[in-house]
Amino acid sequence: MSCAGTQVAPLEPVRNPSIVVLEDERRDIDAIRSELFTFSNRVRFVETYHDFVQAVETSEFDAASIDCYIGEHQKGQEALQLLRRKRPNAARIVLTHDAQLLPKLRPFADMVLLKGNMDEYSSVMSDAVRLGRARRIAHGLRQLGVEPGIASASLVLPVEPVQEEVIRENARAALRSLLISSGSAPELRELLVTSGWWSDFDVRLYIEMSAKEKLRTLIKYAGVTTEEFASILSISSALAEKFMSGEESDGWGLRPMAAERADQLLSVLAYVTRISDYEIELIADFWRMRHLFADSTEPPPWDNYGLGSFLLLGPDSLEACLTWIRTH
Amino acid sequence: MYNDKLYDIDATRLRGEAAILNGAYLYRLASITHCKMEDVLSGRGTLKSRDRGRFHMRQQQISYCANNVLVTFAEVLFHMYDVVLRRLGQLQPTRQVREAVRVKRCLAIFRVRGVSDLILLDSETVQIEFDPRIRGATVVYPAATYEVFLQFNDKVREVGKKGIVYPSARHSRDHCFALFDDETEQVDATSFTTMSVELSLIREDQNFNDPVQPCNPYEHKLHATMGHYRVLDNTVFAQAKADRIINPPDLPSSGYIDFVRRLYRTYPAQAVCPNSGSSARGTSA
Repeated sequence: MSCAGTQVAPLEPVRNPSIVVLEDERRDIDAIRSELFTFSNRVRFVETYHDFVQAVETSEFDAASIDCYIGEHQKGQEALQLLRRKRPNAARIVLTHDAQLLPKLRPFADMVLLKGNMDEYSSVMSDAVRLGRARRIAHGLRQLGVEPGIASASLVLPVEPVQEEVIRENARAALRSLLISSGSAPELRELLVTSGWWSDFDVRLYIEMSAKEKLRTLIKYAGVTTEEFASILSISSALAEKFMSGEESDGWGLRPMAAERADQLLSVLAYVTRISDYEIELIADFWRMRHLFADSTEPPPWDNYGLGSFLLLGPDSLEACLTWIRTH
Repeated sequence: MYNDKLYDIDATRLRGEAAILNGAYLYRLASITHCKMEDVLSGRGTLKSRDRGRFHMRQQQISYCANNVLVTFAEVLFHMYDVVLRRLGQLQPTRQVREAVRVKRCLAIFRVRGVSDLILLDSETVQIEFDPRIRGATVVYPAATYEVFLQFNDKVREVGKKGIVYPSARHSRDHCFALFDDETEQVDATSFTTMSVELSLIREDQNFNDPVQPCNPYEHKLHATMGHYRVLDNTVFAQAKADRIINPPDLPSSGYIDFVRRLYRTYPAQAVCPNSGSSARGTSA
């Protein structure tokens, strides 16, 4: 995917990024805490260099904020070098009251700031977590043998929306392909979910839904059109449209047969959800997929058509699908 | 609050008549799609089924539930194990096999107003009046279906009984209930609580002190007698424990459990090997 000349709106903020803050001055800790806690509750403060080394050694994070002076010692350069070595993907932000240090540390950091302007700090940290997250995802893709589409060296503050878009689309495509072929990449998936780049199935929310809400939700995930839905249930397009928009509430226009077929369709869609390993993003793929059971001794009746297409063949197809699902 | 006195079941196993009394708690591990109050005791699930079960023929109405949460977990884990092996034998695709290795379910907890006219499977009455083969070892016959039970099911339904109380073949404490009719009206709406649960089959070499390891049935031997459960709604679970509506009351929110009957001297301590259970995604093939 090319990013040349493309205008892309900024993506959503990273949800609950992880941040490590090396800071030992109480007043600054309080100020930083009040800024960072507005967009993350995964901020870890460490007040000694020893604790900082431990934090770097033991956990992944999106960004680090470094106070150069810990006690009376200048630890900035050492901390930055440690980060480059151990956590090269994390964004490195220096915050110091020593203006003379800034040019010296700039080559090792993604951004250097003078203490005092918390609005600027907050804005930089917000960009920093995006940078760290983009680098981590790009790194995760390379580990899977997938080119993220953006050179590592070009990922600097602030990350361009178009760069994020490229990484996002490549990451989504790679994860989709991997999951469809029954592989897994739990860390990359988690990064995408917490970046708002991959949808997660909320089983608690789903359980609370009414049967009609569940059906509407799964229809949306599967990409079933209103016309297809009307055809599968043998109802009018107008009624199907009403249902899809949430207006229908009177028992399917007094047609018990339609209600029964709706319940059957819900069971079939629930099966597709399970087959998709509760991956919302894959439900549409498995709804249409053909020949999934090609090697099976007992393939389902829809295997040559794909479930979605098979259900359009006639009124008996829904029952045939359900029979196979419940028998197997 | 759970009260084990609210199940009229003859502990001496002489009398076959049994009942669930007003205020008794029942537990059902339902699908996440059909887990509403109107679903759990409707018996409609098996009406649509093409498979036989322990006490139902194809498309015969029945609701299975228990008065112990671990019974519901153990029963479903065994079923998952059985399904995985069957699907492997049918050369079903990886995805279809994997679907049964780790499942999400809805644990429904509810009080009932009472269900009477049940019959206790493990009783002298059953041996004398219904089938002399149902005794001792056979009452916990481990196969999911068993011809003797299906014949018993026919006879019990013929004489108008409303259901069967029986010991689980998968867990040695408390009781299972197979209710023949739609008993939705007996569910006390004010008590109805649900929480999501994840059940996983595990590898034979799983260390019980560790989180659930990835389990690929194409590569690993499945543990033939144990699995893992994890309650996903910890807040609801903690509240249910605080309200003392969970049996057993000391149930951890996750752990490894047997799905074979065993003697437990301390319960549930010996029945559950607690574990944080943070099973990584992609625990299967």
